[in-house]
Amino acid sequence: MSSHESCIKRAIGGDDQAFLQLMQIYKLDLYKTSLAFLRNEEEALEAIQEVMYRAYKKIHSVRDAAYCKTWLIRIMINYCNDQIKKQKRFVFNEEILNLQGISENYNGVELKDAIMRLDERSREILTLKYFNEMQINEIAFAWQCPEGTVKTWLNKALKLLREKLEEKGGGFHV
Amino acid sequence: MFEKEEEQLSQYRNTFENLDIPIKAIDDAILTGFQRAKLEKKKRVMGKKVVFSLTAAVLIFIGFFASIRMSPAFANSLSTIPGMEKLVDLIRTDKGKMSAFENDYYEKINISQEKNGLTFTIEGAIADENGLVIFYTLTSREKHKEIQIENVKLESANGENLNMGSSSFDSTFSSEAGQAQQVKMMEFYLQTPIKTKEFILNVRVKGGPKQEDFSLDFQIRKNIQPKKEYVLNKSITVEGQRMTFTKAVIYPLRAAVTVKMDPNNTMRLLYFDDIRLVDEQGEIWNKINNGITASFITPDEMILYLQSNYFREPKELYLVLDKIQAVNKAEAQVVVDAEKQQIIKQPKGDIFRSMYVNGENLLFSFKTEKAFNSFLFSKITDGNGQTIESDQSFMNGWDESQMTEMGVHIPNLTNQVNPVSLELSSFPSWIEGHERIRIK
Repeated sequence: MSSHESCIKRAIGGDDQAFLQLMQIYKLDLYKTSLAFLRNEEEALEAIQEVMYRAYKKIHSVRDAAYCKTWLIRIMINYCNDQIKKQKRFVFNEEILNLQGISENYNGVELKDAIMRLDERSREILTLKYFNEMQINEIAFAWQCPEGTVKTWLNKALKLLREKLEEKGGGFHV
Repeated sequence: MFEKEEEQLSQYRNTFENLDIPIKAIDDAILTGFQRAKLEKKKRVMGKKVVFSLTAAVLIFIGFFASIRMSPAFANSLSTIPGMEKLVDLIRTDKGKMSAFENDYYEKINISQEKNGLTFTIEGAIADENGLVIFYTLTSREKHKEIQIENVKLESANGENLNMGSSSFDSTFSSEAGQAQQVKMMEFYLQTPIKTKEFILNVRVKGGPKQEDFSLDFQIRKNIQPKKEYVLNKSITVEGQRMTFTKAVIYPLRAAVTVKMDPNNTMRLLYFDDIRLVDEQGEIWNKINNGITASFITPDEMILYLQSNYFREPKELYLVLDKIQAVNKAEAQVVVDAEKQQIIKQPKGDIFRSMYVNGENLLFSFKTEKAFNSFLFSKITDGNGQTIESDQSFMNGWDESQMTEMGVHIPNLTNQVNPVSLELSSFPSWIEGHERIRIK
């Protein structure tokens, strides 16, 4: 990450070219994160657009270049969480679409569904940890809380995920 | 403990590794979002440009949130006269200027100059012994999304020095639709009484690639109403900080109250953002809410500006205040290293979240729970203690992120000796009390 640091610093300082360069570095992480939360490619692209908009307006407030990626991913997760809230009432219809649509990986669909049923904090921590492969200390910094707290929440999230998977299990497991 | 779940999660992630990624579409989305933000950012730089000399001024800007709209019946009746409603909209939040209109103290001027499709018209003015407010219209034959005004200079027609104290005007007008006509005002306040009634206003107007310099001669014909002056010399103490109100001068355009701080105070008193005039009936005239609200004579003596009740003759008049912005004297400035783009020192609480350099501007972002629209700095000095004359500054409004962005232009920034110190003239921290001082 440190090799990107000067680019990040220039972007924070208002350099447009550096900003766009930075987004090239993180675009795949952002895209995949959005896809993990949202229903399809179209929504994921819309998310990218919105996150660019939010990031550009706020990048000057990033205080530590080393956490720029975390910062960006969190903007994405926040956006996705908002979208999920808006969609809540459609969730049940969409499940069927998801089953047919996304992939041959049956487990993936089931897992995604379980993640969507978690609370926002659990969803965020699982995404940061397992999807974006962030370290506990990075998450602790982003959330401005002790690492111990992150670990507790992570455990809670995993426990909840297990419950959701189990409660779903009956109907869908092969 | 959760190995199974962890395994499932990483498998889930892996399913995304083999996806077809629509790179082109992602790049398009990046650019679209970027351009949208950029356009908006530009538009948001509302830049009320302010020029000040000797007296350092405290400024406040009306943001989206200021909702101090009075609706006196008069405003409505005036608004029905064609052409007047736009003028009235500009001063609706200022009871003093409204009252000047009401008392027929506004003077219609209607002098225009046209250059290459741009027309600058002075609609009218309100003048008093110390100040001049000009209402003007900018008309453009072509549509421009953004029109800028700069190099504003008011001169007396006979060449005599006006001894300008401060002037303020909206520097950028933006309109998505390229609105062809804009009505605005500019305010000038002098350090000594105005002797002349004939003026020349010089303005440069920029619209798109075009740039035109205007110079308009105009004359004030109405009799200038004399100020009303009250000697006070009344002292109060708020949270251990002592101050003396020495005098109140009421002009048609504004009321000016002078206050002197006790040099032994432990805190530097900044902007009095909660001060008002109240008459025996309980009617209130608030502080000025858009423009210059105070000026420092020395760090320990300042003039506070309130909306004028000049055209009224109350039996009793009081100055009332509940809180005052204050910081410990040792913390009364922000020190930055412009070269490293770092904040070296700031008051407790770390509200300044970032500082960066853009061209010759120092851009600060600060966080407050509620909108805080006053300009934060007055005197600026370089690393050798030499004063730097900043000729303009601007602010971007507070938004849902609780951040406000503020810019200070430092001429010749790269050659200035660091660190640069900026004295606070306003800051979101208060001392509280309840005080009532009789003026008359």
